[in-house]
Amino acid sequence: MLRLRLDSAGRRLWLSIPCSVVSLCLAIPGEAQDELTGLSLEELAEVPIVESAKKKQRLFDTAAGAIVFDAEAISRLPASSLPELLRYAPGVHMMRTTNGSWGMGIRGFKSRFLGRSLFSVDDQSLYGGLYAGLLGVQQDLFLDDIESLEIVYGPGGDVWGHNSSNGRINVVLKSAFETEGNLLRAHVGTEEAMLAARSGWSIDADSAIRFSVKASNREPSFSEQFSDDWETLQLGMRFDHRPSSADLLSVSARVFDSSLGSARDSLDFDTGVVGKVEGEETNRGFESQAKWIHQIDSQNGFTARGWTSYAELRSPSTQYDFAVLGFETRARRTYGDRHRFNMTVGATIDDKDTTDTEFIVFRSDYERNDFTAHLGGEYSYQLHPDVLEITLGLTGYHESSSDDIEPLPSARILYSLSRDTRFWASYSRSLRTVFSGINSFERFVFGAVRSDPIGIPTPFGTIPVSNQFITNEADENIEREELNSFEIGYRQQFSEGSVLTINAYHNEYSNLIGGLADFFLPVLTASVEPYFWINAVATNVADGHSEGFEINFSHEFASWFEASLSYAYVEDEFTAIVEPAAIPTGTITILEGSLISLGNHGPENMASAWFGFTFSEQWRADLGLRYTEGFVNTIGAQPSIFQGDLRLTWRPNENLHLSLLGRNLFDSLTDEGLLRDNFDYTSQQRREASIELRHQF
Amino acid sequence: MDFIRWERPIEEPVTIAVIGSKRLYQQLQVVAAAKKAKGREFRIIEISETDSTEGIEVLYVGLGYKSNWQTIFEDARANSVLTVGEEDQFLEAGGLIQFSIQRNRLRFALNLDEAENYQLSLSSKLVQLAVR
Repeated sequence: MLRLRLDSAGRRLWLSIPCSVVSLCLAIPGEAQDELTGLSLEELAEVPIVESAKKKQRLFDTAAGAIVFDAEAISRLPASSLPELLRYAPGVHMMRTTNGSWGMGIRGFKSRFLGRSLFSVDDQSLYGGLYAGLLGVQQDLFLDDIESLEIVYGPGGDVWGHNSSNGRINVVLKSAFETEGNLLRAHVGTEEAMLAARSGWSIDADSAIRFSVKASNREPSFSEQFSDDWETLQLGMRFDHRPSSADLLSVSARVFDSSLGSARDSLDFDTGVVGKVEGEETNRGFESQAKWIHQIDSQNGFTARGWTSYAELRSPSTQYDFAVLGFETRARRTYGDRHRFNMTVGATIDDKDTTDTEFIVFRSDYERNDFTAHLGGEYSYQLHPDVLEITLGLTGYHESSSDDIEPLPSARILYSLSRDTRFWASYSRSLRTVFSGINSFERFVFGAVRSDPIGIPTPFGTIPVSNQFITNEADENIEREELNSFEIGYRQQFSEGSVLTINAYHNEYSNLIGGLADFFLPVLTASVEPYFWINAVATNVADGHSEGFEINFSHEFASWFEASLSYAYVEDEFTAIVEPAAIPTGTITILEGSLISLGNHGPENMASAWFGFTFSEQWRADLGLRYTEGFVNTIGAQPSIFQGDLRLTWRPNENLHLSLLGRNLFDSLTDEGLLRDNFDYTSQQRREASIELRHQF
Repeated sequence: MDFIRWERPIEEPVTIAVIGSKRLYQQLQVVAAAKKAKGREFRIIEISETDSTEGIEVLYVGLGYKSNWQTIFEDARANSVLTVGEEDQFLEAGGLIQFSIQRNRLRFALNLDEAENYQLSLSSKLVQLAVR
């Protein structure tokens, strides 16, 4: 507390400023200080110096649409996994097509590989070039290790880097300093059982370490065709060392193992019979990172990171090993009151080892290693200090598969209309790497489609054909997808617990990848059933644009009642840039299918609401509602979904939480539909209830 | 809880001076502006290591001024100025409060032997919260 008091003689002064104000200015980033100046010296002594999450104030001053779930929100939301949490982020469409197959789309697109969005943990990108994305949700992070979940919309220029086209999700893990002690979390329910434990301790005054383990098992979802039981195991560690007040060294590692029941069509090209192949999809691997943060003060410093990861996927249709090694440094520097520079340089190299299956045959000479490098900078200038700031950025991005260096420019302007109001406008360009898996395969069996019989005239009469077998080949000249994104936004803080955010955007896409029919062949000699063999080429097929907006309003209506309301709207349109091949009426048009797939794989309207009720110090309830509408898909899954989730928590003391959780409460079964890049069978999600225990000791 | 008492007369606004940390100076100005809006006024100034500390109540000495410490401390003692720093050996050289980070928490140490030479009194609560 900043406080002065003259003594009775009016001559002597008791002063408490040096220890509170000066100290927090020395140690705590400037953005956080406002909320700390009211603390007593005793309270200040308990404020951690290393706080893993970015402060809300920093988000408030970000010239980009963004939302952050902090540790408190993560513990309260009626969700027990990252994808379930993300359902409550405006404009983020999460789709669960089987127990362990999640798709994600931000601002329209979605994919099982989380493509067109960047998913990172502590800034370590988990993006894999093999399929231009990742099976990120199978890594099943331990929620209690997460300090915050940050969702930032749009490419974000140099800040987020390449491949973050429609947005970026970054998981910020707690430092080991913040997780001293032991924690046990157990979850038992109608569909899932989970057990997790963590232990952390100080090694000395400047070092701390933690280890965690999490194991879960989900019962099969509803399907008459296959069983998608899902088991996961994860081990994690983190070590933090502070050699000086300006330096922090961190080493983290996670090992994961996921085993998911899956099935898909198998096509017999000799007989024309469509069968089924079932088996486990196992995904194993590790991620590790070493990071050095040198912070001169809140505005100046640098971060250097090196990381490596390895994933091994085995399923009846796909088998690969994929490893990445990378490094990146980021430096921040301010000059005077008006100038700020950010510089980034980094590189990655990967290694792919693929195995042919009956569904994918790889070229014998495919490029096993890909190299990427990027060098970028941002310059910010305060046109009017603390009121108007303009930022210009330029990144040069190179990847070995293209041999050129692509410029990625960005521009942002942030206008502080008042202390509590921000307006921003931004432009940025982004590229999406051509997934090297496409470049590498010789033939890929996409699947079978059954249509109304089509008569094929032959010398022996007309033969009706219903089955269409679709295969894919790669176009060696395929180019990267490109996005030019424009965004404006407005943020207003009404009070400490009341914020309104509105983002609106226009995206221009070029060279979107899809399928183009190559040849069409009636196979009437099949021994059991004739079929059409349609071969497609994966290539750049479309340009397009999308427009939309996201709104979030969070408000603490009373000390016992708070709410967060979100709504997002998107509409898009895609046009072919290639001529379709002529094929008989009634058979599937590959190009048209690609355009439909681009445009109709996300809902037009999305809304969610989170209501928090604090009944007493011991009792709390959190109700989540979510609604998606305008989802057009080709297999007749639910076009709209309205669902509710509930968490009722009893907290007899600070260290013990007991929760009753209910999910998908409004329907006994939910069919979330068709997921892009998913070739497996889908299942329907059941309503579920569970009990969760969280004990800290 | 109040923590420090000056033996000399002091009038508002209290002056906090900074040597060698532009950023701290800027941040203190922000804090002082916020406090001024609530009716409490502080004067934040930036001085060089050779400037006099007369008229100053609190002096923060940034990193990299070890060679000037003795001159600064002598002047601060003469003017009864509370000296604050974070560099190693700050207390041993004659400074009054040194901040450090231990177990991810901000801690401070006091130079009780020197307080009298600065004509300052440190409260028992402050002594109790100090790491040494």
